Amino acid sequence: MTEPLTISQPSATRWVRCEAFTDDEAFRKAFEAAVGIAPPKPLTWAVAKDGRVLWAEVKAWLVEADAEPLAERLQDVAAISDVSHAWRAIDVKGSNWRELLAHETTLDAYSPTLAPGAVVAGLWSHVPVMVLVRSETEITLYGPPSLAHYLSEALHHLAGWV
Amino acid sequence: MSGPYRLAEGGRLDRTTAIPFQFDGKSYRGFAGDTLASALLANGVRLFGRSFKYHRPRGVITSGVEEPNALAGVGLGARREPNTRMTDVFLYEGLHAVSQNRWPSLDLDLGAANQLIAPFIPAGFYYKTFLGPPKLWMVYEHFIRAMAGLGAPPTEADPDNYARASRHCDVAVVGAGPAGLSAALAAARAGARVVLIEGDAHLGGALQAEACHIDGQSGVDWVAGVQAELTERGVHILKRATAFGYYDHNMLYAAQRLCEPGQPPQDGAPVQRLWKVRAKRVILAQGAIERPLAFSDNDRPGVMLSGAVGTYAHRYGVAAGTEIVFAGQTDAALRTALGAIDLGVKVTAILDARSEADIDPGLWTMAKAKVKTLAEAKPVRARGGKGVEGLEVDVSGRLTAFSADAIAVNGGYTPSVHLHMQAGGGLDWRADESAFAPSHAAQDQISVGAGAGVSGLRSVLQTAFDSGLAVALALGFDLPCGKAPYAEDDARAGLTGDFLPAPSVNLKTAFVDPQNDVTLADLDLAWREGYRSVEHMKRYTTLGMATDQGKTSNLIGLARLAKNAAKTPPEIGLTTFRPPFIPVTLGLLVGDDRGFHAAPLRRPPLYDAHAAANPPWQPVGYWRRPRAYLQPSETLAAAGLREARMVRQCVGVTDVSTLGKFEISGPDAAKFLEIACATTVAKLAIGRGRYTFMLREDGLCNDDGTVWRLAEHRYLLTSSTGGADRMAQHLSYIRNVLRPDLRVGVANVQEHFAAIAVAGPNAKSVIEAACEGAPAPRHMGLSRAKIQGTDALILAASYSGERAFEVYVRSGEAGPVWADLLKRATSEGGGAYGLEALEILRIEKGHVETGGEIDGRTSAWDLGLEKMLNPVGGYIGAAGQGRAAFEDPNRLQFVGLKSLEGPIPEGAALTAKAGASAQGHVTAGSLRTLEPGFIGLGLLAAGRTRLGDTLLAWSATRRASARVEVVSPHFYDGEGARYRD
Repeated sequence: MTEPLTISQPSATRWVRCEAFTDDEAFRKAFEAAVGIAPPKPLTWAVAKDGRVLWAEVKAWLVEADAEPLAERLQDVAAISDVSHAWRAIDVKGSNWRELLAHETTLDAYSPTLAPGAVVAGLWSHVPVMVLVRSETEITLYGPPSLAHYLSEALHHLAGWV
Repeated sequence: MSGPYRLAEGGRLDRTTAIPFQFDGKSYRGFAGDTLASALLANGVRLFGRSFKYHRPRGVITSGVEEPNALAGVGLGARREPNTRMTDVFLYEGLHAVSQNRWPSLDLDLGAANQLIAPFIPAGFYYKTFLGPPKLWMVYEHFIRAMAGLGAPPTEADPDNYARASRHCDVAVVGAGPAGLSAALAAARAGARVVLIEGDAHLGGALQAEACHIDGQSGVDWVAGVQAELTERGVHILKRATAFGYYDHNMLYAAQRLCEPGQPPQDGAPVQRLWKVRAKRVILAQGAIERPLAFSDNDRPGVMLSGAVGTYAHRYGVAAGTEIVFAGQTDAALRTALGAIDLGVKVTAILDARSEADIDPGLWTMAKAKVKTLAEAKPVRARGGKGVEGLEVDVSGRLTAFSADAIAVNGGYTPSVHLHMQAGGGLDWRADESAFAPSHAAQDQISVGAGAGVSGLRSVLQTAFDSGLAVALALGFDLPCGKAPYAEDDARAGLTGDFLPAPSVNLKTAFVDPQNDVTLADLDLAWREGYRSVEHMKRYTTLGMATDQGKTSNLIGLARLAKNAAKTPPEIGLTTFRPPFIPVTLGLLVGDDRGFHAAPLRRPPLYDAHAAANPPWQPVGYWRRPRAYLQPSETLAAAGLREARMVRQCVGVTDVSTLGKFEISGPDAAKFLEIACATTVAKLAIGRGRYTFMLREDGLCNDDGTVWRLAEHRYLLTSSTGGADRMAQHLSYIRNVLRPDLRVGVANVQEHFAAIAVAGPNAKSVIEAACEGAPAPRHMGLSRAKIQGTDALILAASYSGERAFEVYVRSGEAGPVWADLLKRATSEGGGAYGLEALEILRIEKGHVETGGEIDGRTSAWDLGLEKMLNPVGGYIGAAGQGRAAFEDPNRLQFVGLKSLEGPIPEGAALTAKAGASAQGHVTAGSLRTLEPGFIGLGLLAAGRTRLGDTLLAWSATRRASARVEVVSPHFYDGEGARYRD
């Protein structure tokens, strides 16, 4: 019997959008020096010294960090913007998260590539989300704050049917 | 539950579990595993319904979803599902079913009187009748509506829940008969991710309706083994799920029943689920649908498809009759008859329309040894009224008769090509089988098994396995698969007889489409009346337009048209196959998109603060924004005007958080912005901003907003709320496609920042007090401060025409800032204002608005913004503006409108007089705030050269008009003195 899913909202964190002017060696070196890890490859995320680093789109990453210090170190190779309040996170725990995801999504919830370390973007029940796979039984959904209330309600509602 | 119709043993039933149910108020019992149809047959019920037009008594014809006759309303109250095929609902305790289209009862139906006037109501009669005075139509309509339609829908709201789910896979297999199972087995063994979709509650398809052996075991045992292996290999098996739609890019929609029709679910669980399956490859294994034969009174209860008789015997342990005559024209039908005999069904004769030379000799010999057989025998007429009593047969030109209480007919098999055709596939005509079969596929799909025109169990298993393997290999999956399942039996369907009825058949009672009462005579009538196209024949006669969508009748109708036209069926063509393959409920399609989930509510950061005041809300896409903050007994219009006056005379605070906002940073930020924006940007000093607007590549206006230089290489660009998503895409396009070489970053900060506008003569004092004395920026300047301990960016910009500031704070920290600014404003005699006042103020000021004057058709010149265009060019839309159309003097141009009478209706046409051609239209209208009178804004042909003209603003839909004078659109403080220091 599958244990029920738990859905919770973790406390807010600071997020910075780092967009490379050019994704070249100079940028990668500077990024690694500033953040502590190399920029994650497309559709992956990793943990750096200050927190998570997510590949967001071509030449752009989301970094859990303070904007100003990062901007100072990367200003020659990247554009840094504080986007801490542009995202709201919702944690989903339980072995059946794929089934919940599959209910209303454009994503391939059962894809073997949607494994720990992956991050993908798509729609879930009308809401644009990023899905970060933390482990076999934990994911985090990032969505716009304006739709966080709806997203949480919808997740709770459909979790009962999974 | 013994009786002449329930076989003593056999069938895939649980005979230890009896299930009570009701039909037309009478109680019956069946077994677990029975359908409603099989249980009623077992109880000796023959009368299942009445036909649509003639109210002729009708019985069940098939055993599957193609059933045209046995339709019932199943369920009680709000859960009643009308037009439910009794062959497709499995018994459950408490099942309550009611027959349809009869009054007062199924047995005594007064509607049967229509048969007396049948000669006057053939197909298409309503095109020739009801042509009397138009006034009488309202009388006709009342009766036609009462008689039209089939079944009674519930009147209460649907209490049930409907779910959705998605699956992606490498291979989707539709149909879990022998072909589908074999194909799925191969693909799964090769390593592909497989989804298997089956409409029945059990896998096996035709293997449930006949005795066979596969890989040395019974068909039933083989199916069980395959199911276990598929499950072990991770194949997602969807049972009770019918694929009803095949859409672009290999998307399949399937309707899955989680409860039977009318069955209450447990604890609010969903009753149906809509599956969206996206596959890299699709294998269609939907089998073939048996065709009936056309002869007189072939619609009598007791006339059934031969395969259905076999299914009822094998799967449900039910004999369709106690004296059954088989009348067919394929070897497969012959095998079915022999199989039924082996199960103890009393078959009195087997008739075959073909000559003996065309019949499989081994089968014919076997048949002769068991029962009376006749070749070259075509049915002429079914005897009986509410049930079959006999059959008249033409045997090589001689008429003979048989006693019978059931007639099992077989006119051939039609491959089920619906999904193949929905996906854009093509068909070939197979003359030997008198049927179409799939030829080329337009999407990544392949058909296998009977659905592809393949017969013979061994051949079906082998070819389907090979197809599944080929599909998997093409996708790169090549694990060892072993051999295909093997069956000794490879007997084919055999040569199929023709569509021609016996010469002495009465065409007027030879039904082709039993649900819509369409006969061969109707098809011939359509031909005589000039309907040559198959599409016209369909619509004129309504052949194939009922709930069964002609699954058993379309090809017979097509063949009749071909005969009349002296052509072959492929020369005639087919009607278009459209989803859904089976009827689907609206509830399934709506799913969870009801109530809260119908459309997500997009809450601005200050939503809770506004909600506490309970304002009327304005939907702006998914956003909700307050229209006004009503005082007791105040109307919306009065509140809007009061709030606008409050801003003009004192101070107002409003939430503008929904505006689009983008942070553009990097050494090439200015260069980037001068591509996106049509105005200059590079010359902005740090700490300054300006109004800007953006064009499309065709030169027309796309959106407007403001741009602010925050630092050396950092800018903030704002846009309208409605244009925010469009602008985000546009900027991403420039960044990633047009100019990926620029050293710039574009961050969408629409939701990162909340924005509060403070506007009015007292706005500066409110801001400076909130910022603890820090000076407010001058007009189009910016400053940074703290409000309630929160970092704030203060932008001095005015939309209202008054001194105004927009306060940008991080959205999660906006609450205390809003509360503080509102408190300060209130203490100065002001307060909050909503969209109504915002609109009044901008109309008076003459600001253009995206969606109003920026409507996708107006240029910078049209809107009076041409002086702001970057003279250097290089922005998106610069080249488009060179088109000759932009120089047309009669283009719609932005103007003001002063009413000479009462209110100016928004959306009204600007004309010379009522009913004359429109010369433009009113985009906005309102009362003036501080002076009497009504004003408006509009777009008028050659408007800028027509100041002083008098026109009529005329709205036919609102039935309102006002005479107006064309004026400058700037009604208030045209010089901008109010917002400058």
